[in-house]
Amino acid sequence: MYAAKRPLRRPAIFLLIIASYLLAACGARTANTNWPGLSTDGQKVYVAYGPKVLAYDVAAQKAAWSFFPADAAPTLQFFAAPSVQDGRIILGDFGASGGMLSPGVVVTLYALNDTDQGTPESLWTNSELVSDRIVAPPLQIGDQLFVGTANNFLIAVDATSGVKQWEFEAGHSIWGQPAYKEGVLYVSSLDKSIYALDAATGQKRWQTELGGALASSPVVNTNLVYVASFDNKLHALDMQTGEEKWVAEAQDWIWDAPAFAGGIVYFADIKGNIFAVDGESGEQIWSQQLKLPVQTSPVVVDETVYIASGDDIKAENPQGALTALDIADGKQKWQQTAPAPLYTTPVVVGNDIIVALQSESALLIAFDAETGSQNWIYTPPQEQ
Amino acid sequence: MWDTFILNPMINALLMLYDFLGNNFVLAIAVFTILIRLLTLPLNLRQQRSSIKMQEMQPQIQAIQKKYKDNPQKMQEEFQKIGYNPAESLAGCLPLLIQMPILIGLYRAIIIVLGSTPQSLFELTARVYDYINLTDLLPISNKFLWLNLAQPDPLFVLPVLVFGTMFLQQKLMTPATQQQNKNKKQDDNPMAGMTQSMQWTMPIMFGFFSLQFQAGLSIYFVLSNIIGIGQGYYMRRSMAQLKEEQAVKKKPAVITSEPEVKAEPKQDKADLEAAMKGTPEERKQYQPRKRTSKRKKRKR
Repeated sequence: MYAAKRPLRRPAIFLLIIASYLLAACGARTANTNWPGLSTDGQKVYVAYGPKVLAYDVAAQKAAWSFFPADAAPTLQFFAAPSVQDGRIILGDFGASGGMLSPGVVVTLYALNDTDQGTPESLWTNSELVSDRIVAPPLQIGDQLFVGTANNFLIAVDATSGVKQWEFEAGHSIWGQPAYKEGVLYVSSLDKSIYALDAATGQKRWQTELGGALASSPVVNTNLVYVASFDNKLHALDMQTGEEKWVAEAQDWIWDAPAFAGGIVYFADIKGNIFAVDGESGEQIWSQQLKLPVQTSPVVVDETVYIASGDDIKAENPQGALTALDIADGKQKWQQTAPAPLYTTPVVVGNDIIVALQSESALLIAFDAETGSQNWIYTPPQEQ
Repeated sequence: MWDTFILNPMINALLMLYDFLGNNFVLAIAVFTILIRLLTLPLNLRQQRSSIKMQEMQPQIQAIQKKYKDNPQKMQEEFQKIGYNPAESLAGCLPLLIQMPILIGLYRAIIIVLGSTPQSLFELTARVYDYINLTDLLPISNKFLWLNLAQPDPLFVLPVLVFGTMFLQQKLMTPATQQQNKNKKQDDNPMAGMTQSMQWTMPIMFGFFSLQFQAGLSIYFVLSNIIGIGQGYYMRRSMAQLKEEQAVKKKPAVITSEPEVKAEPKQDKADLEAAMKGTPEERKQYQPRKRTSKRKKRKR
């Protein structure tokens, strides 16, 4: 009896082993994802959400165009918020392997011209500039383009031609968009350091090491640079020397950049505490507890601070929320839920405050900035 | 359950090792691989021993199957005679199956810890135990020699090493008798055919995977294979030694044991009779000979 079973058993075990390995092998490729990147030029919103980059016309409430390079590998993905300046859009991708026999990851920068004639026209494309994924939104200052990479480089590129001007290597990945003021770039890195670089040459002016990794963009005012850190602190540094002027304590990691408006700095930690501190002294003006994890930057419009938040990562059906707080005392004006956690900083177009999310039911949701009511929702059509 | 009992403990162990070993992720992977291989060593050895034994018995098993294909009862009896139990052959594969979740968990853990996007870091924070200070450990160093541990090796060195070490490991797991007979038709022995094809397909498959895997993961494969090579070498040596010892024991046993074992009671009886006939001193001096050989030899 067993003789009849035996021929099946061994191939079955063999197949089981191979299947297990293949399963694990497929799992190895799942880490190359991120939250949608969102930006605006004041009329359209641009969202990099993995398979494509979408331009959405807010006034017309319809998709203007979507971009995916025709000759690209199907695994190519976009997550860094597109950089938009005077109709020139710069996109950086997460890279794709060159194929089985070319293990190097090919990362490409695309410069597009948004012509309002349907599909944007290509200005230039360059796959030789960087060699690791672009997480940080690129920064355009005039005709110069600055791009931070996951393999520790900040590169300066001629935005009109795509030719590299200089490069600077930090100690670890650059996830935050650099800040620029008067010829100087302020660059934060996961290596716990903030660097001040000459924008023309890339030469380092100063470097200050802080207590935790810096995952977000620095923010500059007239004389100080603010940078949020995983050491649970917001640091204010002298713009000229990098010397620390004050720190404001939070209760957990401050994941995203602070917002600076009217002399006040607003920031949030991942425990859901929102803080408003004086921009010059660091003295706390108010704090508010949302009890929802926050990984986004506060958005300040007129008399309101908007906070996009996530949910407990272990929650079965995690949701997101957009909360409007009074700028004067942090009291809640309204709160709206979203069908998925909000990990992307919202943008404002007219009277709409727009959030991007990883959800099958919606990619973009616009809420009325005043009342919080939902104005519109956009879900990309399913690919055939 | 998978996350709570396998993946998260592995991620945290990896992070603790990274902390203890001076924030060197390659060292952390190396020590972790050794620890895991040590933990699974008894299972591994048992599985390997059983696999070698089964493969070596294949010609006999096949001959019996062929001879008694119409008489299952007799076939079973013959199998018992040569010490082959079909249920045992299945049990021999169980250790390998038990190891699979550990292996999968380990390289999932490496992928998560090396995750190089904000989302992967965020997912990591939810898995880290409270007593590990992730703030101090970040950023996880991802550089080693020319490698970015979170990306595939662009110089093809690791895929070649993965292929080479896995091939050697597979080769050492193949019994010598099978290698000597590899020129014979493989149809004669399907088990041998499968092992021979595994010897090539597994290394080729993993070599190709390594072209796409993060370098950290490929380093794990190389280290794990090197340990496997050592283990395979030890296994072959100990099996060869065991065979030699058995061969040495068998030879004298055939010539000497039979007369000795049978002669013992007679000799004792003769001695006793002689002693009883002798003087009282001779009677006192009489000591029966120790009956060691038959039972002890059987035990041996």
